[in-house]
Parts: sequence; structure tokens; C-alpha cells
Amino acid sequence: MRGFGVFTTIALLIAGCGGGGGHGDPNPVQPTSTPAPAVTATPIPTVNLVLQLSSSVGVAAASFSVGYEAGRGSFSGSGAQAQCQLGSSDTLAVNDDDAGTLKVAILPADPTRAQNLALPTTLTCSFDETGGTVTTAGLRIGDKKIGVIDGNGVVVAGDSSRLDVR
Amino acid sequence: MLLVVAAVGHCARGAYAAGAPSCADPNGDGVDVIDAANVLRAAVGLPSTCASAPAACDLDGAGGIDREDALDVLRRAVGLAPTRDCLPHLQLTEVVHDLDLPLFVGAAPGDDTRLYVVEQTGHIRLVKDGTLAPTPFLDLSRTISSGGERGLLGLAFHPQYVATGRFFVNYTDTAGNTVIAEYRRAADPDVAEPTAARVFFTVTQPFANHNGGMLAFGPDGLLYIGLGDGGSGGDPMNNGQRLDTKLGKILRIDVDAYPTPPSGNVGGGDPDVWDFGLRNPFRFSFDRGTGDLYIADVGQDRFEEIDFEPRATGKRNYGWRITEGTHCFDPPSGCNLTGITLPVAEYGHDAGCAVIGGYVYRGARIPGFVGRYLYADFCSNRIWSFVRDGARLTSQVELTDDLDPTHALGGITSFGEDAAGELYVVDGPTGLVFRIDPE
Repeated sequence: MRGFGVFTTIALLIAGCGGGGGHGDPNPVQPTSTPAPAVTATPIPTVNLVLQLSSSVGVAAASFSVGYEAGRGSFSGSGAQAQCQLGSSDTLAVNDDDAGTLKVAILPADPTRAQNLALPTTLTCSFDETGGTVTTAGLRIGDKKIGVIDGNGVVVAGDSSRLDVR
Repeated sequence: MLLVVAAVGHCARGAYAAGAPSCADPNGDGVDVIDAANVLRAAVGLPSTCASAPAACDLDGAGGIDREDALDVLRRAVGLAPTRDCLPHLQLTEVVHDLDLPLFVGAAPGDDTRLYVVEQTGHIRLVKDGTLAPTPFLDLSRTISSGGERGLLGLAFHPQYVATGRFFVNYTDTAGNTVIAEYRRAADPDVAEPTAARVFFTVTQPFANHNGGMLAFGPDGLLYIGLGDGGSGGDPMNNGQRLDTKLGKILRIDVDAYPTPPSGNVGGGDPDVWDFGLRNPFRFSFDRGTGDLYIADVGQDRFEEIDFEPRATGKRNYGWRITEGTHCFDPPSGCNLTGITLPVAEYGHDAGCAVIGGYVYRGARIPGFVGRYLYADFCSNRIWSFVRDGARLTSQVELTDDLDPTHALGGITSFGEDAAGELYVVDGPTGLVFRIDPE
């Protein structure tokens, strides 16, 4: 009986959808809305990648690039909106091209108080793993450039190998 | 607001330069985080590479290097779009050479094909479609006296020159006196009738120097004339402050009604006086965009000045000989500044010796330069620019290294403006005329 009842209901619905009633049906069935199927979003796994920045010399400015496998995702947010945060209060600029390269540049927050960057520190960026797992060890650090204060008090290019990013 | 040019650093290549400084790149090796650090340091008053290239660090020429400039350079260092516009990089493009002491270049309104170069020795040379015509447009060499500050000094075309063929010249005659005369284009549009259609007036010059020389039509269609104080030194006859003489003035006449003066002149003396208290307004110009008047008044021994006059607001006393620039001249201290309009910009003779007034750029080739007033110094050949922003004068920058990187100019005698509003630089001693172009 239970199965029969289900079948009956379906038949009535079909009749109603046909706009019936024109054939003398005394009890036309009013159409009813069909609930939209619920979409269940699959959350994109996001991980925080933490880079350690340090130097054995005073660094007045620094920049470098962070290479990643674009097939595995990209940093959360695009361009300057990439979600990155310094462990210090220094001034940070980032640019994620969403295609495998995040560019990073850092200046002192207030050179009148501290002419060099506050190192060591961390750079923490969130990464959307749309295509696989990404770890800090899998990032490629390149294009390192540092500025150091010379004898005249101006910032000039320094030995970039003295900046350690890992 | 007064801008003191001498306080603006000379934009020379710095000791750290790998190439020419350019916007956001004071050390000239490409924009990077090191530039950003230097701009930031400059913004807070610390030593930086900006000291030798301030224009490269003050990105928008807003009158000072600030933290926003540094943040903009930082953005550029990581490839982000800049938030501030850079002043465009400029260059001088030679237009014509082999001129004989050129000291003015101009064009007739509405004629994009011709430039006219005034030679101090008495010729108006025609540059047609970029080529110097061998025959002068007008030869006044036997009519004038030339040498020192004398000669054929100014030229202005009637606003309807294309239709009327009327143009006007300012020269010192064989007796050394100033003549303002009208000439006409001949049937051949590339030459002028050799004799004057009219001489408006002759002004006796008591000394050989300070003859002024500029002519320009204002937005009111009237002819403005710059005359110096008569010369010698220190204005011994006090002509600048006397209203009964044309000397030391900006005059304003109606070329269709002369000698009837137009309404609005100073009155109470010479009827042609529009402004007074000027020492030697060798060059002045109207902003073709606003009608405002910029007068470059050559100073005595200490200060050169730029006077600013909003459109149609004459009757001003610019101070000479009471003042030189913003400083008392006679008496040397405690002078009475009542009724005197002080200059909007001045510089000391540590930066030059004779100001050469230019123009507000209203051309099309350098969009980032529109609205900037350009001027220079004859002796140092330094070139500067500022923006008149409402009541404020801002964004003072020096363009010398940009426009003249090898310091080859011999002596800037004038700027010029063509029919399209593009600007030119006239180098008298070398006989060259250049157009200012984007690099």
C-alpha cells in the first residue's frame, strides 16, 4: 500500500503540470513549486604558509619573490589583496599574480625610529589549495634584493644573500 | 604662497646614479624597493638618493616628497599599478638652427604650419612645415638698433591674423627708442609688407638697457606691451612707480581704437598703463586656458620674480623700485608694501641672473604637463615649472636635467608657443629653437 500511494501522487502531479482540467477533471491539481536542489559547497582548503625572514646585517629595505605551483592554487586574494601579514609592524607590499608568483617588498614602518627592518620576523600568507597540498618547503624564493644604509646615510643595494627567507 | 626656487634642489645626477634619474627611480637603475626606501627616508627628512634627484622622488610634483610617494614607489617595486601620476619625462627636439640671435618664437592663431622666429638683429624668420625659409618674413635690420638689450624684441599676431594679416612688433629704433608698430602680411603669405602700416607710439629710452620687449594679445583681444623702467640701475628716474610714463609698465591698447584707451586701464597718468611697478618685463604670457597673466620681471642684483595676475585684474603695482622680488629695495628695509602685489615666485641670484618667463602648457603632446607654467633663467639656463592651483602655487620642480641633460644650452632668451599650444625654447647664443617633447 505504501508504494502505491507514492505512485498515485506522482501521477497526479503529472496531470496537474499538463494544465489539465480542460477535459472535465473535476478536481484539477494546482501546480506546486519544486524545491531547488541544495548545493553543497566544497570548502577550499586554506593553509597558512609561514616564511621566516632574517639577516645578519641591517636591512633598510627588502624584496623577493615567492614562487609556487599555480596548479595547486594561489594565495588568498589577488594582486595587492593577497592575504599576507608581517610579524612586525614594518610596511609590506605584496602582489600575487595568481599564476605562480607572489612579489613581496618591505620598508621600515618609521625610519625616524628604526632605519632598518625589524628582523628576524615572519611573513604569513594564506594559500588556497585548489589543486593539492602546498607547504612552505615547496615555495621558491627568488629575486632577493636588499637595501643597506651606506656611509653617506643613503640606501644602496646590498648583498642579497645576507637576507635569509625560508 | 611664495615659492623660493633656490630652495629647490638642482636635479643633478647623484653620486649613486646608474643612469638618469626618472620618476620613482632616483638612482636611475629601475624602480625597486631601494628607491622606495630612499623616497621614504626623504619623506621623513633622512639622507637619501632623493637629495640629488628630488623631482624623481616627488612623483606628482605636489611640492614635497611625502610618505604617499614612498608607498607609491613600493607598489611599483612589486609591479602594482601606481597611485600617483609621474611628471612626464621631457626632452628638447631641435626645430631650427642657424638663426642669428633668436629671442622669440611664436605662431599665428589658427596656423599650424608656420612658426615665426624673431632675431634680435632685426629679422623675423619663417619656419614653414619645419623648414627655415631662406627669405626673412620681415627684415627690419635697417630700421632698428641692435646689441645688448636693444633690437627687434617682440612679435604678436592679431587674433584674426589668418584673415587680417595684421601683426605687431616691438623694437628699438636706430636712436635706441622703443617703437610699437603694426605690419601686414603681403599677398604672398610667407612674407610681410616691408613698411609699417602704423606706428602706435615711440617711447624715448633714457638708457640702453631695460627695454622690455614682449607683446601679446590678451583674452580681451587687446594688445599688451611690456616696457622696462628705462634702464641704468636701480630705476634712477623712479619710472616704475610713476604713472605718467610708459616705462616700467605693462601697457594695454586697443589696436583698432588707438589712441583711445580701452576701459579698465589704471588712469590718472599715461592712458595706456595696465600694470606698473615693473623693472624689465622682458617676457610675459597669458594662459590660453584661463586668461591669467604671468609676468617675469627681471630683477636688479638680488632677486628674479614671477608675478601672477588673474584674468582681467590689472591696475596692479608690482613693487619696483620699492621692492625687488619680495624684498625691500628702496628703501632697503622698512619699505611700505601697501598696495603692492608681491610675486608668487622668486629666486636669488645664486640660481641665475635674469628670469625668462614662459607659458602655461596647454598643448596635446604632453598630457601630464598640462596646466604647468614653465620659466627659466638666461644666465644659468636652469628651467623650472610650477602649477597655479587656485590661490596656491604648488608643485615647483626643476626640469633642467630633464630638458638639458648635457647642459648644452647657451642662453635661454625666450619660450614660445605654437598655434596648438606646444611649447618651444629659444637659445639665443647658439641660434637654436627647440620644441619641448615627451621623451
